[in-house]
Amino acid sequence: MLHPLLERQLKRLGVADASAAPSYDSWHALLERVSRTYREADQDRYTIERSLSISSREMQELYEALAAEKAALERATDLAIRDPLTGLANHRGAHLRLDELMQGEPGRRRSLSLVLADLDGLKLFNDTYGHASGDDILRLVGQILQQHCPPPAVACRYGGDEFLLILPGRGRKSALALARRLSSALGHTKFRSPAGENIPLSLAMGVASMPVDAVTIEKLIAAADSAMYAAKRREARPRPNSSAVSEAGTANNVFGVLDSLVEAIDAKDHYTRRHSDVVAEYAMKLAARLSLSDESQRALRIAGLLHDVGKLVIPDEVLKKPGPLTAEEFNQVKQHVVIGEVLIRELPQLKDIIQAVSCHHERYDGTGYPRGLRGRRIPLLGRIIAIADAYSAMVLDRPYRKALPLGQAIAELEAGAGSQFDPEMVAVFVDLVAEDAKLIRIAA
Amino acid sequence: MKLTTVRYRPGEGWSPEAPPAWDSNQTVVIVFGGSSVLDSPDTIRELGALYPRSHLIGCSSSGEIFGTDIADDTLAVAVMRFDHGSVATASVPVSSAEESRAAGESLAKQLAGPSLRGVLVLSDGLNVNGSELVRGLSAILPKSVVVTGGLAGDGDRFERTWVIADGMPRSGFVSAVGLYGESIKIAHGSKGGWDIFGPERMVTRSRGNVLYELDGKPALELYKEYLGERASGLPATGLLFPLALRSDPSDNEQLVRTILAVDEGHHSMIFAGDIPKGHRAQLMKANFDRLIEGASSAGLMARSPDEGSGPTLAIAISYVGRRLVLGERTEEEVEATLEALPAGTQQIGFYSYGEISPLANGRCDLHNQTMTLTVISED
Repeated sequence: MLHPLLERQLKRLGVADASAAPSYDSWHALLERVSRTYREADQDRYTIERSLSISSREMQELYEALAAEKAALERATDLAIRDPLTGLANHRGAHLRLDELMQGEPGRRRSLSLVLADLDGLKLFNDTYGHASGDDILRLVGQILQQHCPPPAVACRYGGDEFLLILPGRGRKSALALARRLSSALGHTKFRSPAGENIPLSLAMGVASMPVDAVTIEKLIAAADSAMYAAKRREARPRPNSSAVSEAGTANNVFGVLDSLVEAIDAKDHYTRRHSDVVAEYAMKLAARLSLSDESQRALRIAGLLHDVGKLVIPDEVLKKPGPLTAEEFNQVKQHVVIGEVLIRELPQLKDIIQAVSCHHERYDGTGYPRGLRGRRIPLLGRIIAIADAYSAMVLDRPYRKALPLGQAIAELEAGAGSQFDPEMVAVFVDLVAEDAKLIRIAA
Repeated sequence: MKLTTVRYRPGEGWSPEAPPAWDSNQTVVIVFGGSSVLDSPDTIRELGALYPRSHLIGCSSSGEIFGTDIADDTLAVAVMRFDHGSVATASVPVSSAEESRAAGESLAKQLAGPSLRGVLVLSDGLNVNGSELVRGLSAILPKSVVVTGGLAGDGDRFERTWVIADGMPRSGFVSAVGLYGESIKIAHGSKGGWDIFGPERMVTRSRGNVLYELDGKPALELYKEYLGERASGLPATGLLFPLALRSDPSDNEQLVRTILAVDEGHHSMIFAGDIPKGHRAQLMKANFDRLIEGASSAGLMARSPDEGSGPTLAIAISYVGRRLVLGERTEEEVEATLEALPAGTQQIGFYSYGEISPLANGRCDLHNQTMTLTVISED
């Protein structure tokens, strides 16, 4: 079988039978054509190989140019979010990181603490020794903060003499411990002034944690800021020139206890923690829609976070049982309301919160527990937590049950209006959830 | 319809037979030949004498297609006499590319009529802006009229082309034949087979159809670099790398521009259409299999569901750059078109400097790099 091209060339020369010897003229004509074909094949190969090699080189150059451009862009971006003096993230970098941390569903967010720190005496030092020496101090403090903030924590230079430590995944206790370690590290650091004096370094630090102190970044920073100023104002420091640490809401120690309880719930059962976050969020939304006072909203946030605190003492095998509970087990679970009330009732200034926690399983028709209160006899905050609690339980996945579709969850709430829930509250809540769902659809 | 195709070779005469005596005003005689015909137009004159009442149309080529053969400096002729359909021809002189649109409009006005089915247009290959010519034709003719055709060729020389006007081969003319009547069937197909490759570049300096710089560097130097030792064959070897153009990265429609000449003095290249500054340009390349596949697809596109069993003429107009790439294997593309068409189809055609046919959306346009088929029969 000859190559189709050779067959055609023979045919064109009138050589029908390839096995017969062609005439002398045909033979020469054939050789010429075959030779031309070889030449064309050579040229083809030359053109293809050359164009491939040049275009590959050009693509490589393009790739390198793009990579260089990307690197330059990254450098420029980095400069925009980094403080050139200390090498820490600047104010803008801090807020970018905080925005990243606030992505995702509120119920799935981890806890977050901030330490806002102000360097004591920088202005005086600058005035005395000049800005170059002041810069040396800022650099040194920056290094110490950096050493104490391994990822995912981030140390930032938030302003002239202000630093911000962003501590994802850490509760207040852990943040306070870090602040105290920093205080100690600074206390042991010696900075020598140009005049040869030993300059003591100290910071005034304010600590605030989410969700106990606030649920938005703005409010969390404001809380840390207030705490920092409280630390700055505090006259009695453990020793002269030592750092001072203050916590948000330190007017009393109640919040430290509450924070520990929230962390204890998280450690016991992640679902309960996520559920509590969602309850707190929706209870607050409902309260805002009902134009309740800031104080009531704050109480609802804490009540939402703590409403299931009594489950801390329910055995795991009952709490996490993947299936229906026996009557005895159910009675055990019901005890969590009373236990929760007992756990927090000794804390001062928590009347509203205690009422909300103790009444979140009361039913509007009077058949709930533990007291069987009816209608408006159930405290307002308890009626709000009851709706947010039921809604959260329906829309979150459990290991043994998928979340209900939104429409079905709303239908269940409406079915319970007047029997399980305050019907007026259900109407407002359903509107609120429907608006939220619409927003989610638009965003999607 | 009666149909025959015959070929004239200098020194050998007509084969397989002399042109038949089918002269009538319903007869079309289509002729494709080498540019040297301009030097000795006797055979064309004799054809005119043989068909005094018929409609004679034709143009110069970069290779005449006759059946599955390709030859140079011959005449490939189709004689077609319609039983029911009628025919008209028109010609317009064109002295510069600026007159192209007006020429198209003038031809269309001369040929327009209620039963017009199709127009085959053959244009001077060097002094006409094919895109503008088509715009002129399309502006006047209704969409139902199939417009196909091509720009005359001159081997790989780009020096002189001719079109038959008033029975004689002339440079600087555009001619067209209009086919009328319900009995006439016209199908068409057009397909390329070239691919873009390498980086996309910005046209940074150009004027009209003259390109100076891509990405701030001389475009001619870029072509010479890609061609290497084959740069000595410019402008012909420039046909190996046509340019695909688009106005911006979001534009999915790419125009194809093919090189016509180089100006070493100005370090510039002249293309068959505009190369607007700011457009993005990318080199194109072809390979043997993709071109043959393209020709076969054009044949399949030109099949129509109601094709009859009577005589069928296929007019194959293929881009000269394809011949340059295919070389000794060029016949394979005209074999591929014939294989895809109904058995018994007779084929003539030519290698051109541009092809005209409707796009998939029905709008007629100038193409480069394609095999374009016009298939004519009569019920």
